[in-house]
Amino acid sequence: MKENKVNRYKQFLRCGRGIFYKNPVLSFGLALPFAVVVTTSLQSGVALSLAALVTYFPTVMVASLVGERLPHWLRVAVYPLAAALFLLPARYLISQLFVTAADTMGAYMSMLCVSTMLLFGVEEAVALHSHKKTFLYGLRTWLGFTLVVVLISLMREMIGSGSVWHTSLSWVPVKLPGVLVACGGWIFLGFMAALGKKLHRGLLALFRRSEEQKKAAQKAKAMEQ
Amino acid sequence: MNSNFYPSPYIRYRDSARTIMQDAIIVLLPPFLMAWFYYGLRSLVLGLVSVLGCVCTSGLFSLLAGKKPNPRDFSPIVTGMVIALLLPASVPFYVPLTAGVFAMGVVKFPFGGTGYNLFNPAAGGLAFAALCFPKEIFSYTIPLETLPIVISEGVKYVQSPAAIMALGGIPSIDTTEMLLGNFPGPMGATNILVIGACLLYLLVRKSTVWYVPAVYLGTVSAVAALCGLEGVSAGQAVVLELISGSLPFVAVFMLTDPVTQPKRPLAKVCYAVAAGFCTMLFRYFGAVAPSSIFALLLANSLSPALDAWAEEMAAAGREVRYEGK
Amino acid sequence: MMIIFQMAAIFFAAVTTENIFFARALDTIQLREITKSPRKILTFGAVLTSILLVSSIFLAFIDQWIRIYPLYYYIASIVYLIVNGGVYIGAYLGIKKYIPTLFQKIGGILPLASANCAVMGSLLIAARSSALNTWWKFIVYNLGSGVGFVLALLLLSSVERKLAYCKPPKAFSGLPLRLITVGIVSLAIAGLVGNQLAA
Repeated sequence: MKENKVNRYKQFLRCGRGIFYKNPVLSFGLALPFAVVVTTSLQSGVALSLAALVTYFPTVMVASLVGERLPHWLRVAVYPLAAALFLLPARYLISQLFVTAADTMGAYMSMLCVSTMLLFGVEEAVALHSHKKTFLYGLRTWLGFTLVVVLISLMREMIGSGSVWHTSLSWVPVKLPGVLVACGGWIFLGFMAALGKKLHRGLLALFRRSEEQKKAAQKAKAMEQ
Repeated sequence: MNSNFYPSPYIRYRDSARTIMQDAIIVLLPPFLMAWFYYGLRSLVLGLVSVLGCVCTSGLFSLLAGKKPNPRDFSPIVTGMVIALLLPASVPFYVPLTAGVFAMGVVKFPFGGTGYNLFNPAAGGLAFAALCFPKEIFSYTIPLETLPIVISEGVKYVQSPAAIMALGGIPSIDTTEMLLGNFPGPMGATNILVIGACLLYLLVRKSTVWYVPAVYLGTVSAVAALCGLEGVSAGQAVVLELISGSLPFVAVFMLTDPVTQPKRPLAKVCYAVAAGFCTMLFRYFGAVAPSSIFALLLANSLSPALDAWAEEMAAAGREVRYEGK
Repeated sequence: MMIIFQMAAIFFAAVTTENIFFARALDTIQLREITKSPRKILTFGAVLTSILLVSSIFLAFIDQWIRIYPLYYYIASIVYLIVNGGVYIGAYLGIKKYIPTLFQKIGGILPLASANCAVMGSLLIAARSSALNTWWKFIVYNLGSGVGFVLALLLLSSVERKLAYCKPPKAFSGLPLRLITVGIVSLAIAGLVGNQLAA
């Protein structure tokens, strides 16, 4: 593969697939209930990502260990139960660390056990046939989910409540509580997905243009000589 | 080179998107004049702020999309005027700005701009502003009390007839006040005579069809007559429901928006019925909100399905007629 | 008579104001495939609502037994998953053995329709709601949630017909535009709710 900016950028994306490229929330639309409803404050977002780590990652590793021994139709009944068992200590921890966030999350914390991200991850883990690949896949997907959830929570709290981590910000001119309702979450997520796409296309175009300029300069130099 | 041959006379169709928008701007000016008469210069300043907000947002998003802003596209101006007319005259300036930015940036731009929007931008913007600033949007002032440009502590706020009815009360407004708009309400939505005249203009210019507002108002009247209000006759309940809130304005100016309306006549009738039902549903069971605006957004989402259904009905009708011959 | 009115009110609230798709953002996997035709939506919705209804009938009574325990919220998610999983496995094996023609039609979507946020979310939210304190209120609410989910998907498919004719900027094409569309329809329904919904 030629060593140029475009290929280096694509290599970077491939190494980080699940975080920036093929992000579970923004590319595949997985785990939408959590990204839309729960991310009304930064504390909720951080609590959500911690709970997701404890339910998602171990369950995906268990799926990789069990593999195809469990038939497909039985997986959707068994793995959510496994995730619920992993969720028990997480629920206790989060209720101690983030009291308000645990209240806000309510039933959504239990729903992490049946989230589309988990069910998708379980199928991927079985298909990968490799514990190391599953480990990396699980970690990257969780990191991608966390990145999106934390960013959205931060922005929604700033715009909707005029605060960060429940501390008021004096420089926010107008608070828009409409952003904290479900509809605001859907629209925020849509714009974030569009921003991600725009950023990717912008960077790709920038690197391609810079490569073309370099090639043109090299060609001109060769012609002079 | 490809030459197409058309027979004479060479009459070009005189209407274009620009003339439709020009008509819309002309027809929205009389409500602004009435608002100026009732509430003073602030109503015009509010309109200007709203229009500037919409135009600037539209231009900014066009630049972000890599296109040149089109100065001949009057639709942001129309959206800005509609947003201002559906707000109280005492509303702070950040409210129409928020509504305008939401209308242009979220409801219009992502779908492709003018002509491609699925939902009415003004309705979307107002709905979002109603969610964000419910107190500001539902605090009206008494007409004929001139408001200062910068609202001070001394301004007195009252509830609109729609709010009184939602709480179970009966507003007391006599017929002349009703027709001339001398009761608290959105700036441009209370003047029934003026709105009626605007509807006549739109009908004469063939910018809208008569049965869409007629069926909408008919549905609302039917539901209001059936359900009624405690303490008044069915007729009075119908009149009170028809004049309160933003209903008359939405019926004439927003329901008839050619972009978001269905295309077939049968679909248009069903669309108006659906909008009417949803308005009354929101009025009876909803939180205090501009019900007709939210109902319009719901009806917009039904309009593609209604069009598809009307197409199927039309195709079935054609088959029956063809087989009959 | 009062009970019928109350049932109607709870059903209506579950379908409109607390719609599990628009207001609570509960979805299932492969939603894009399902919303391609009304027939697929109705099949999927019927399966989902049936599983939800049967699970809610069992859980309406089981919940009353486990509610007395102090660690209710910890036990609840496990118990609900066991019951829901049991209903799904029973349905899968039962339909496969006794109604093979039906199994051919719905066998593929039965796993998707049974274990998802919509079903579990509806059950858990109903359990946490203090207004749904009797077994029939619980069942009616869940039935309403299922029906509301189907209606929400039908509305979404209606809007998606027209989305195909839009010319969005390249950054918005695909998932971003669908999310924004759902957001605007959710905004329309928010007119019934006002500002806050308890989780």
